[in-house]
Amino acid sequence: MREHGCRAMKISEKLLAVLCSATGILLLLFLWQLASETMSGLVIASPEDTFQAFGKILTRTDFLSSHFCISMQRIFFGVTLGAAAGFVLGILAGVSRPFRLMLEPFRWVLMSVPAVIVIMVSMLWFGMGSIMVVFITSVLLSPIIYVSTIEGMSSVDPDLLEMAAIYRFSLWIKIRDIYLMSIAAPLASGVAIVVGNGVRVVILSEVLGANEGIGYVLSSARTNLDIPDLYALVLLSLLIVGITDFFLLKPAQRRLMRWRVRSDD
Amino acid sequence: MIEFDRVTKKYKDLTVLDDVSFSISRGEVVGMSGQSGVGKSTILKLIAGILQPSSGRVRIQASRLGYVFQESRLISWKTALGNVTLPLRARGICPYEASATGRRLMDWLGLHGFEDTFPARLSGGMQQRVALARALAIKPDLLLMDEPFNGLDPHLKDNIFNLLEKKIEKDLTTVLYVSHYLEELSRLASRTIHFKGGKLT
Repeated sequence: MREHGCRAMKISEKLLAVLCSATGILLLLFLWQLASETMSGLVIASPEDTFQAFGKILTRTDFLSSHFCISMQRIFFGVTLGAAAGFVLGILAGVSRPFRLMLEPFRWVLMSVPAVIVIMVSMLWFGMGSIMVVFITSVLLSPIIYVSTIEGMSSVDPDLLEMAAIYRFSLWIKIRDIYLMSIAAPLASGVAIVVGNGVRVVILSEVLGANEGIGYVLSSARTNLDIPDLYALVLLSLLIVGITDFFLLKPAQRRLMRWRVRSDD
Repeated sequence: MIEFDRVTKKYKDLTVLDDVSFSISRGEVVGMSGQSGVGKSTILKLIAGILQPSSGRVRIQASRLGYVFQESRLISWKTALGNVTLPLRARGICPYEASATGRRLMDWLGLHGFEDTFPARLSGGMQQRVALARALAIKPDLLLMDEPFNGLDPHLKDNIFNLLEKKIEKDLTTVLYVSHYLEELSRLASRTIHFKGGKLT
């Protein structure tokens, strides 16, 4: 009976959360509609025009097979390479203090320099195209994962390491069962940030220096003053981040962190 | 089995153990008492090999060492059974055999049904029993216990002692058990050594 009551309470809490989110989305749409009615169509496209343009863009075969696919590949390779480099360097820096101190100026430069400068320099080095976009994305994202990994390494419980030494755990067991899982929590937040930033950086790089991709189409829409297309592409970028977050990152994070006692349990 | 020969342990200027000598024979169950900070845990860590003496010699003849800490020191992201079987897996025991041994021990300690539960969802007493199961899983020839059952209710403590007594007697395990409570020590130990000011008294 009590368990039944608890379950009913959890369901009602979830329902309330869904209602709150839905209200937020409706409010956003309402303000968007209001703004589009009061301002020129050359500044803000209405939600209706945007959704229509969104449908048209998605039915254009050249968009999906060419621009969309290329941007997704660039996001995938840029994020993967950046995350892998940040992770490996973070592990090494977590183990070796001199190595961390040596990398510190690089981290500081990459986290402080404006993205647009990295894009300009990369265009000079690699010209326009995928190599330049993937390079910029991985270079700008790797420090985020690097910092998350170091944070995780420093939060490894020394008591667990002492226990592991007493029971003579091998280095592999220590890495697999203690280090990697200690890193998992900060790393999961880092990955969520990196995916969102990955989409932003790829599109920005494509706007400034590519002949294909979502960013290139966005740049063309701006040049042609095709405002509904421009807003539709913004919507598409948001959907890429949202779908990755809700259907890939959040479930993975929940599975990885299922050992934690949640406050509603 | 354990021999301390004129062992001194210093942390910078602080002398924790001062010229300590004692020995424990195979199969002996020895209790260790003394006030907080007199070096009881240091002795256990010297035996476990995670500390080295500043001078003197510690000789140990044990191939399988079990250690129960004051706090459970379970890995939060591993299930109770995962924690119990990890020392076995570290020794190359196959997962099936490790799991069977772990389940048997958990059953024996009254933890049946909690094999797949994560430590955060277990009570303090249950966590300590999981930690004890982990220490016993490798069939230790030397078992070190550092005030492992502080804060447990007397009934549960009594049950655990009954089970431990049988296990120690059956496996001829050498045990060094630290506790503040003399009645606990006399219950389990055949003799007790007492520390004061870094020395044996």
